[in-house]
Amino acid sequence: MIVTFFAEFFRTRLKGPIVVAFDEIDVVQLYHYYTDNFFEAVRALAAQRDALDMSFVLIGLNHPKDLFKTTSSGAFNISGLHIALDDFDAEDAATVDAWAQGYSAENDADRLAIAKTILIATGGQPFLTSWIFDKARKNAIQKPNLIAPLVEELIEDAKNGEGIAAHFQSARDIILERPNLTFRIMEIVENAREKPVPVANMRGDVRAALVSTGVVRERNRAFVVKSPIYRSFFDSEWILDLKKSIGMAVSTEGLPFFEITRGPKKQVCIINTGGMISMELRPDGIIDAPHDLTVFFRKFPDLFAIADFDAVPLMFKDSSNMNPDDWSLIAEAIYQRRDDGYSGFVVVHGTDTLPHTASAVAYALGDGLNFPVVFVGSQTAPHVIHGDARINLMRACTVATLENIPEVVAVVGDHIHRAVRVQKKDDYRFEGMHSPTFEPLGIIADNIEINKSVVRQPDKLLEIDLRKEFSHNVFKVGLYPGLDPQFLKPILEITELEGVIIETLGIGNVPVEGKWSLIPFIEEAISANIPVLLASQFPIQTEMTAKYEPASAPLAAGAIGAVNMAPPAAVTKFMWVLPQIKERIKSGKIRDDRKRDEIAKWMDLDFVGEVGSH
Amino acid sequence: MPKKSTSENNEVINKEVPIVTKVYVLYTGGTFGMKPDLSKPGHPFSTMELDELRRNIPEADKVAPGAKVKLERFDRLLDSSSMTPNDWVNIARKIEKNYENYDGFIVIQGTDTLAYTASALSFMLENLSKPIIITGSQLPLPNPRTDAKLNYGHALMIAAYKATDLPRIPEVIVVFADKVLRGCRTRKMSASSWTGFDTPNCPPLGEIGEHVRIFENQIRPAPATGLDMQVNSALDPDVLDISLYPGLRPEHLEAILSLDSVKGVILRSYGTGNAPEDPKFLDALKTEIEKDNKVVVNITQCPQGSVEMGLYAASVGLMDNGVISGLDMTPEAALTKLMVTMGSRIGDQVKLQMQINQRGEQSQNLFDFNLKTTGMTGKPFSDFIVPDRRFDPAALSAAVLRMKNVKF
Repeated sequence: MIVTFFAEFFRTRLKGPIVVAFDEIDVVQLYHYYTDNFFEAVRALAAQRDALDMSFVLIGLNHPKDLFKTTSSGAFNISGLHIALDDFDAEDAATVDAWAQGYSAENDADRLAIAKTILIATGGQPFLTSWIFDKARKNAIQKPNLIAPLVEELIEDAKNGEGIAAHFQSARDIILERPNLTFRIMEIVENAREKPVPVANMRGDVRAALVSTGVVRERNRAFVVKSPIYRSFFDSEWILDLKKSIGMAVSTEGLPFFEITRGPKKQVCIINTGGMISMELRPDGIIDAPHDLTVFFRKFPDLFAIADFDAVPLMFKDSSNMNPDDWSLIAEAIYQRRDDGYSGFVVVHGTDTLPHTASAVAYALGDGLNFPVVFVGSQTAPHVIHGDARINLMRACTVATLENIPEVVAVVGDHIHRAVRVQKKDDYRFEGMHSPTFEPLGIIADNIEINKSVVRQPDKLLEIDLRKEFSHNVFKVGLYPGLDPQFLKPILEITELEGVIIETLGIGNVPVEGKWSLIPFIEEAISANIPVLLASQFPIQTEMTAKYEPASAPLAAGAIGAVNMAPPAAVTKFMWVLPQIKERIKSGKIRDDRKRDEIAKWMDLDFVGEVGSH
Repeated sequence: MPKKSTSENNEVINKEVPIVTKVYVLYTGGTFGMKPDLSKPGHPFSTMELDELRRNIPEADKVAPGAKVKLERFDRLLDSSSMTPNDWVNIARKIEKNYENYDGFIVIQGTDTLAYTASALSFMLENLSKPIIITGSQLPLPNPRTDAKLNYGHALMIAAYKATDLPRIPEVIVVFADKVLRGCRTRKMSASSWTGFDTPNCPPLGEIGEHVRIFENQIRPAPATGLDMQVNSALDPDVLDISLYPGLRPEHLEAILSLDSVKGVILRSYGTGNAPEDPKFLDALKTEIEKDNKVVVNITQCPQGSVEMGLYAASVGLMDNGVISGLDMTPEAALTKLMVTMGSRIGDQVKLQMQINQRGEQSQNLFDFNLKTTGMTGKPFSDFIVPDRRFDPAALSAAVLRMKNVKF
């Protein structure tokens, strides 16, 4: 077809050899639909190139083989000529010499040294190289050691949006144009700043996108950040800022149209962080994180009967890999969008550490929250027809449209649990979480019944006061018979340790006899100014009984009791309270010797419904 | 089953002269035998002396006609949260000493570590042919609302199986509230509820309602006659039990793991055995496993469920670094099994035995065959030719083939 068009249309109308150039072939990455037929057409034409007397030129940053979408078939195996336009090489004497040609310095050695210094700083990136070269010439720099301040100034200006900021901006734009890949791209850039990242098992689309950004280059089958300039500009701050900007409106184009039953449609923001519910069954049988978050919406078009959606593919993490920084990022992602007209947020998360993340986000957003933030996970991936992914997502999205539940909650099976009360109980059955210390805030039945008497009523005058810092240096140990307190000694020797959590078996009892006694350990920690929190694996509603010595001894030794809190809520609260107390001590609001008592007071205070009974 | 006379009048005789069953009861401490001390402010609990205890527990003959109870208590009573492996050995010794003279045994202790004691005794007592029942209570005996009498009564009925005509359970079991549970599967599920215990990964051995019902098909068979009961009392307590949580620093973990006194580790991972893929975390484990041949057992921190290593990327890392699977073992079973196994086996035998079902504590057996090739002949061979008599190829339900270092 295409060959006929070229043969019968162009060939008959134009005389002599024809060169057909396709510029910017990388653009196919941006289309989530099938674009391989473009390359297939070029391949078909190339086979006829002698007969047609035509040449075909493809121009782009990526090799066509990296732009193919189907991995199972079709390499771009035509015997064309691959002309690689590499960056300038500072190790190549001829290159250095060529650049030094245009430079006037006092002597040849300095001339060459200046050219080489510039090339090393820019990694040979043509635009940056010529820009600094011109700048150096304008300033009549005569010594190579004067290049460094020039480079610093350039980075400083660019960070303030001046100078060549546009050059760096384009990398950011390219990444944000691919919201579904942003997290993966950022992860690799982050790692590549430290050491080369092998390209061997990298997904094709991620690899192609990375090449397009120009931030990294491939050396010895691994990606490295191109240059010292890029390394200092694309720093962790830049990466964090970019992560916060991820987001996309979800289009209903091509989906079956759903009638709205009553009222105007609400707007819900879905923040994906990974886990089973977001998994996709690939054609090759492997369950993997989706290439594109819109997979939800293509699979479950009836979601649009509930609301309209914006999606934020914030990260793709197995929930085992979640850490306190991720909690902050999720809280901030919600905070930034709080005034964007959403009736609520849905956070998609793996189930393993969902109670921890949900609790942490609840603390970070605090009691000024006036819309629902619904955490949801599933035990099965969406392709399991009888599974819970679809139904949980539907339910979570519905709860996110409700006005009478302005809390951070977790939707699990038929129940809506308060985030700071939820615990995992089962890894197999669908009703895998429960909140044994507090009744569910709602039941999902024919109607969604919200238990109004227990849902928190936010103070209308309060704004969200985002407090998203969590301690990274808390050690938790669960007690068991036979725990030799000597095992815990090395922990106290860690210099940056900020707190210890002891999870007891009963309601606060710890061993107090002989060499097994934990009291000396607690005393030693307290004397080293490290707070010790006593939590329970089995929180109960009553205050801790101090009738037995085993329960009163640790408190007497200075431990802080938190035995009526759900374990994930206690752990995350402690991690959340510590930096705030630290800050208050630093600013002089609290005396250092009051540290333990202040932490104890805060642990007792109810912030978001984590303490106390009904 | 109890022996019955062949006499035609046996029913009449049985009713008048019940079969005598001797039951040994050991009170080790805990709420069960406490009483409020009215002489002190706040009425703190104090423990009862043997006589007082004897007066307060239900009369054996009224619970199970024919049952004869011998009650003893530890001189030094133990709070269950302060119990240690030494105390398990002491309990096992008491049982061993009285084993021949009694038909059934009841051990009473506090609830906090009851599941640990039940699991430890399960692994310590080998070739058990008599019921060993662990029980306790949430409220003390003198309390009018107490569950102590109920739990004790039910335990006695099952221990005095000859007198009550109940099936014999030749296992360490937990009798608590309305359930009869396998000891090495038992977990504490709640700190204050009456039904504080359960076996989330296996069905109960019996139910207690108006009648005591024992599910005979769930009971493990008694050992062949001629095999004497033995006590494995050489426990190695150098085991660290650590639960993962978001924010656990690999450096902190490494600081503990590298202690020479830590020889075995129970790693309570997430979900079906998942752990962070952070290379620093995996390196910390790998170093210790390879350097000092430490045994690291992966179990799930979920109250219910099993470890399925290799299912997700998050658990492949653990497997590749030499962590062995605890399948659906409870943390209590995994810990005590490792302590007992490390006390009685050496080297790779520990790892092998840990993955084999010993007392019904896990639903499957796992055998790892590591194929290696010699440089000379290139012929593959395995570390364990026949790992154990319990390896039955006919019973093989699944085999996982994992290949490493494959070069194409």
